[in-house]
Amino acid sequence: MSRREEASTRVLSDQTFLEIPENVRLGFRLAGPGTRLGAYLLDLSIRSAALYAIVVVLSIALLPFAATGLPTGVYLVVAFLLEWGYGCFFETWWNGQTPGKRAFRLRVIKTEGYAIGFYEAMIRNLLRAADFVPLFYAAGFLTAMGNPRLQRIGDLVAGTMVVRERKPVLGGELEGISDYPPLPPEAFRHRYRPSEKTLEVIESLFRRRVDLAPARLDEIASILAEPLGKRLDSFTDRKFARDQPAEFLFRVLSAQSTRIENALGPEREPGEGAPRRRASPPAPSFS
Amino acid sequence: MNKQSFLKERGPSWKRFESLLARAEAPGKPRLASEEVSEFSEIFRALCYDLAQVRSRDWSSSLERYLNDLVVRGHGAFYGGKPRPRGQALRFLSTGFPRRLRENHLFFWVSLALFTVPLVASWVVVAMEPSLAHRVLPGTALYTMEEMYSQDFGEGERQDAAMAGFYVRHNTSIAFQSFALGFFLGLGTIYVLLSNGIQLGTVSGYVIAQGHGERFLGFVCGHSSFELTAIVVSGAAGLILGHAIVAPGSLSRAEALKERGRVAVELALGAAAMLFVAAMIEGFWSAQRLPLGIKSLAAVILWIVVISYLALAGRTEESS
Repeated sequence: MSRREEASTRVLSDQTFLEIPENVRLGFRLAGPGTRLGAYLLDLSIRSAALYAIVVVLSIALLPFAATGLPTGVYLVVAFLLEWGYGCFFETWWNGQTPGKRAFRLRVIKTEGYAIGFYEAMIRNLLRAADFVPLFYAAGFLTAMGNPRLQRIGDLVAGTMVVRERKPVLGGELEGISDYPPLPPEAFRHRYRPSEKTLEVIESLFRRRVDLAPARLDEIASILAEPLGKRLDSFTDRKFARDQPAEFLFRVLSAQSTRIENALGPEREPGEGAPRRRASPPAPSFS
Repeated sequence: MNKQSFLKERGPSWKRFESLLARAEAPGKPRLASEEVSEFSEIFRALCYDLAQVRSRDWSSSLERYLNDLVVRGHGAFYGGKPRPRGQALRFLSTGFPRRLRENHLFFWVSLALFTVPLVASWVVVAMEPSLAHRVLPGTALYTMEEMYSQDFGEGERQDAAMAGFYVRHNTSIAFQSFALGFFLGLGTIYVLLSNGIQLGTVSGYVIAQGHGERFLGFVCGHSSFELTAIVVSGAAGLILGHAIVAPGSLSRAEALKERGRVAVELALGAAAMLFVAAMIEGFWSAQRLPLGIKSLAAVILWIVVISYLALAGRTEESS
């Protein structure tokens, strides 16, 4: 990637980069306001439910002491601890995650890429009071929007950022590709094998397949499918590429990803992936 | 080397790293054995090299993303985890917090002035002209206050524990807000200090002027030491935050915020601990029906405790 391209992608990027001592640049995917709001609302409901449960238990367990106000007192202290300490507690002990963040696969980390500790968690959660100003996190939202790492005020002071996490899966981008039986190896036997770049393009289309209307998907796919079909061997392949361009491209991709998995062969659990796929009917089949 | 042979050669090593990583990240105690740690670091460095190689050869972004994410997690696990020493909270309260406060005494004095000057001024003014109290607080609030101190406590049913709980939540929340609002150039903190000072002074002046002085002072003197000092300390924490933005010195504002924010939050936590003590005193002691003499004696002792704690605790180790 050239320097100019890099600069232009960074402007619209939802990533932030960090160079680590091992001399590689790491990309961190930042969490946007939408998912963070979702995680916040989930945490809020968990907190409220916990408080409600505690109220019920307390009012029964401490009934004999009701005259001294003990149940009310304990309730108020618990409410206080939940209000100010919930986020800090979980982010400290769950390494930057609250139950809500875990559900949305978010994690708080230091801007240097390390795990956060007690003080970072405490600072970013106490400063919610500043983020909340004047109403419903307006100050925090505006601060995050004007910040390349999407940090709210609490994150700025704590030196933290919220990132999206994905369990690293080799070839995980291609989840669902097994729905497409691979083109048989014979299709690629002769002259042509799609380049990594070409597969990359198919892959990005594959990831968007659920967002696009089928007709539009085929329309886009045909741009690549037709020249690709011509390069493959048989007449049926060509016809297939013309009639069902998206299906065709995905089968090409499927064939290539099968090869990648075969290369990794012994590490795969049996019954998963490649072996099952080989049993599927050879393409093209019009059904 | 093409991509297939690269995957074939390096893949097993990545899988091994994944399993080591899963154990390194697990929250429980037993993590990696020492030889596994060196294996981890070895594979980690190789992994960084693999990532650089995949990038330079432009081999599919899904592979790049996989390796990137693996290195990200490895980086966090390898450099992040500091051991958590036990008993830190106790050490913090016994020596760390008072020391921190003394290191930043200037902020404490400014905060003290911002709180006490309006307090004393409004007290004196309202004592001389009680009707002015209505300019500060709504009539209903003043009426409630007067009502509260016009009779002995505990004539109805006393709910000490409930009151203590209320003070914990209410006062500490205000202290945390006062700290956090310091981010806005310190203005939020200054506002909280001034307005609390004025209100407290007004109420004191008004209630005493209405002739309930003995009951009022008997109630407030006990917890005043811990509560008022903690308000000033949390104010100091907010001012530190504001100062980091207004005058970051040789650091960038972001760096100054991070560095000073750590100090400020320590003071805010210390203030919270003091407010917890204050709430217990206020809930369980202040409303007791005892002669004013005993109450003021206790108050004097508590003031001595607070002052010597903040001024002296942790000094011997400090000088060594």
